[in-house]
Amino acid sequence: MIRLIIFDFDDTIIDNSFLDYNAFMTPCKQLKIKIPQQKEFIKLRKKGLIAKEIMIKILKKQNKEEMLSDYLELRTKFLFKKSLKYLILKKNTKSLLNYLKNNSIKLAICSANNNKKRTVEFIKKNNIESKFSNILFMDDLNFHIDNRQKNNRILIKSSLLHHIIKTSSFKKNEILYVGNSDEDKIAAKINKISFIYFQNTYLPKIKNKNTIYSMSELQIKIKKILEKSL
Amino acid sequence: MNILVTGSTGFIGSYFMNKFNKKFNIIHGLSHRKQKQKDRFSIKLSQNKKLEKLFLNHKYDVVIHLGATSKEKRKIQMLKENCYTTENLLKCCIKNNVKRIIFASATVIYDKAHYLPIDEIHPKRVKTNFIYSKIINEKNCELYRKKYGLEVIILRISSVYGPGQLEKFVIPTLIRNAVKDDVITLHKYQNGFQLMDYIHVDDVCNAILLSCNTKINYGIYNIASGKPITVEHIGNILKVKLIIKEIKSDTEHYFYDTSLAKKELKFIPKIKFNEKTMKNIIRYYNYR
Repeated sequence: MIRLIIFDFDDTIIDNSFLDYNAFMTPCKQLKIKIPQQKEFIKLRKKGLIAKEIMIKILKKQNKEEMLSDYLELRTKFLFKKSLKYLILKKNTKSLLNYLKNNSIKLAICSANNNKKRTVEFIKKNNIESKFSNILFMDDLNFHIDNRQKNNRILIKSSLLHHIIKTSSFKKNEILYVGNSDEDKIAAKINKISFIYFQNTYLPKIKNKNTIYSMSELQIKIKKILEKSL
Repeated sequence: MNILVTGSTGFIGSYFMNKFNKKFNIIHGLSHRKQKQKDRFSIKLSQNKKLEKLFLNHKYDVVIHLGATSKEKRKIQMLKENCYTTENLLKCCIKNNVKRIIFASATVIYDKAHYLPIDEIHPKRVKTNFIYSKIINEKNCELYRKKYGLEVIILRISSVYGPGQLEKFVIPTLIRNAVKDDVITLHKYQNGFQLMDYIHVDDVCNAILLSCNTKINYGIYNIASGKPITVEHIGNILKVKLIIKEIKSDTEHYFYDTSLAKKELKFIPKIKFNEKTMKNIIRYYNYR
């Protein structure tokens, strides 16, 4: 029986693809760096490259490697200040959240993102705040490590999940985590809870037995799990 | 309350004996090393007869078991020096109606961080024979609790620093180099500076005292600062030039959850890792 579902935020509840491309492109324009077409960018993202790695490639081609730190600084500023308007709630999210609430399933958000303020604003703006009993971000942890590094991201996610599990009254087999990355999968495994992988079209595919592509698909999956446990 | 402290010539043991000398009715120290004071005895924990005689002559209420060898040895030797000795001590406690044992374990028994902060239920991992001996001793203490009703408080202590520590350890070395050269070289890993957890020996001794007096008769607690620091942080406190060496591998971050010790033992570390504390250490070692 599922009694608590923990959602990752970026690219799970929200669609980040628009923000991702704009956060990549805007600093390039400011620094007058020639940029690839969106299609080309998505292709590289699908290969698993992060924005920094893509930019290193581009700057190397243009002999402008010294601009990397300026670029990264501008990108960080952009993500902090302007990202809210580029965020979109994934299709059918509200319907799924209502369904889960009606079935007395507690909901939580956990993210390695360090911009909680932006996220809370987004949640409020979309009127879904009341659906969640717990919203935990990297800012809520009493330590700070670089969240751009994969092993650190796993540690952050795992720490957040552990905190939610420990403070909840549910058993581990009553908890489900929905995430969109390999790090999420590992963090769920460390905490010994079930995991559903949300595959995004612009990110690399990972092997996972429980993979979904949309919120409606997730709703069907959860419905089946609930029916089974009755 | 009558107290026996094993490992009384060690870093924590000697500090505890000096700090709480007048706090108890009797406080005796035990060590395999020679000791001159009249309240301290040079007895090895493997010397059964001498140990039994000591227990018989003094009605101890609490035994604080700090004595252990931390130098890595072959498994058999480690078991002999750390585990058989603890078994002897436990037997003496039961035979002589000792109410409680406080066993000093260590946070090194935990596996690399699965999550942070590391709490008492975090998975453990036997990486060395020393860790193996600590885990066996914890289990043995628990066994004596279940079988004979001995009260057991296990303190998993993190990295300790403070006056009295041998100079070869990390904090004195770092401070000595900084004072001597006005510069320190720091290792920055791919995943950043390592998060670490250092606790002052004075706070550790307070935790032991709280363990003596608590009404709780069984518990395992992390004794740490609960606040992560990095070498960069230490360098900034010392106000010296920092040379950063980039290391092309990841490091293991660690720091510990002390909320259980806070809740049940009322343990709150008081000494902060700041300029004042550093100055006291510099003064102690006479580095300037």
